[in-house]
Amino acid sequence: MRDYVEAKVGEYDEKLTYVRGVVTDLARRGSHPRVVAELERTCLKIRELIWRIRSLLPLNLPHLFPRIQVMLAQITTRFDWLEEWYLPAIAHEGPDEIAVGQIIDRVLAQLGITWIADKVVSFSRALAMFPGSGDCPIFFMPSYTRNSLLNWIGLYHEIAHAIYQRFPEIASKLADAVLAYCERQLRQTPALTATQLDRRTLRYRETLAYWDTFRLQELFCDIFATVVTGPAYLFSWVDVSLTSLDGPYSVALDDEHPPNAARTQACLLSLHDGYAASPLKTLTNDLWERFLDRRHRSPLYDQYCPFDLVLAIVRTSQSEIQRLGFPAYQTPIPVPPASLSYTGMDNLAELVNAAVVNLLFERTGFVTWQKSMIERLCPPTRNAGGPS
Amino acid sequence: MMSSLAALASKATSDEQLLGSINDALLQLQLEAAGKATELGYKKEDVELSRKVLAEFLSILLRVITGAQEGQLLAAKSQQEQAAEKILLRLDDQGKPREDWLEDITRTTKHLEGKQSIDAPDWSLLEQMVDFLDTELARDLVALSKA
Repeated sequence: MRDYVEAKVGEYDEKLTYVRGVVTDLARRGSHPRVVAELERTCLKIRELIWRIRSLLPLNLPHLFPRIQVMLAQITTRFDWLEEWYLPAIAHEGPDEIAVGQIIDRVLAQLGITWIADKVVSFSRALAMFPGSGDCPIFFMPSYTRNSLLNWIGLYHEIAHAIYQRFPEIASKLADAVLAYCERQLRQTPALTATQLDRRTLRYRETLAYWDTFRLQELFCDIFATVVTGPAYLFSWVDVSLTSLDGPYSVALDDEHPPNAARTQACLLSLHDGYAASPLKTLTNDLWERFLDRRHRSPLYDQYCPFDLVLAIVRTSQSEIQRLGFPAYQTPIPVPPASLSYTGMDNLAELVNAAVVNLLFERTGFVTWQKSMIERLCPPTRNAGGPS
Repeated sequence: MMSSLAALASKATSDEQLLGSINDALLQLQLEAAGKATELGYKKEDVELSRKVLAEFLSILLRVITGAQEGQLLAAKSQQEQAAEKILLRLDDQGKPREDWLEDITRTTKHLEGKQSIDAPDWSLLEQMVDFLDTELARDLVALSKA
């Protein structure tokens, strides 16, 4: 075992030398100083682990090998962090990604998010965010995002992940809200046998366990995106649900996402009252209701996602969003056909709301309007991947 | 909106940090028991802190298992509470009654808190805890690779 560990550590040392060379080259380019500093810290941590393993080996204590094995796994995890995520994303970042990054910077500034010191944009996968250490995330999005205004809406959901991770009190308060709901239900004492009462307690324990911090995080992100972009996110989410293979009431215990119907419910409840009578909200609501027609809620859905529980999560999230000072979107939605004359570029939330209105109510003029807006939002670069 | 990447990556990071801190604390106690802690640069305070880290984690696990036994509702808020909930599931898969786990964990916690010597059953229990955390991180990384 000792020989193996010595050989493995030697291999890691070589790999570290290579990775540090790559990071040094990045530092010379000077484009991502904060990300590079983060990568250097990761290299340093790997070096420390290698040093510690090397200091333990001469002791020749076999019962320490399981501890060393964990350290080897920690090194592997850190190399993966560098080699699977950051280094390829930075290596492939070109003018198109940088142009998109500048739009993300504007959105972050408008939301008052100052702690994201640096970021990388990559077109290598579907819309997602890799949080990294928290202040230097990678934003993934399909390159097609540059050509489609609707594709930008999900960005607000991804940014909300960074907020949830930045402020641990959000998770704590949401967990309290779920606990309070379950306790309230348990305090009601219908005439049940002892066995039935035990089963009921077990069901609420399961509900509490279902709403772990990761599912709460996903729902918080939907609520946040609806609060800060208004009806555009509600429509966008319903659009995603309608084109998804998942049944709206399907509860997947191995998925961090709550069922689509619970997420839609949360978006509907989060939407500012000022939009209640807007044609966009009415149309989106009708779409959703027709989609739900003749679909049956499962008992598991009713157990995990009752209306009052979703409402409690929404209310707590709204209160946290307000407490942290994030701006709620209350701008009037452009009305067709004047919406086709919308030319604002400064506020992405306004732009995507206009885009949804034009898509749904001004279909014939939408394509030309979107093209002209995209050309201004993301001016063509020398890369082939520019807007077409 | 449909990607689990952000949640899975943050879970993997937090699980890795917890595994690292518990593994490191156990390593220091094992070095102390072998009379090698000072040689490796660990001070008495470091080792005491490591006992505290392990005792705290076991206390949280104890609370989670007791809560489950008594049908209490507990919200897993901290990183350690969330890990303890996952460990509870693993314990149930081991074929050993929860009462026996409670007894073992209580005993080891007392040894750690009372600064008593750690005996063979304590080492075995602590190593199992690291294995459970290790397994959880491995699952995170598999999930992350599929995200």
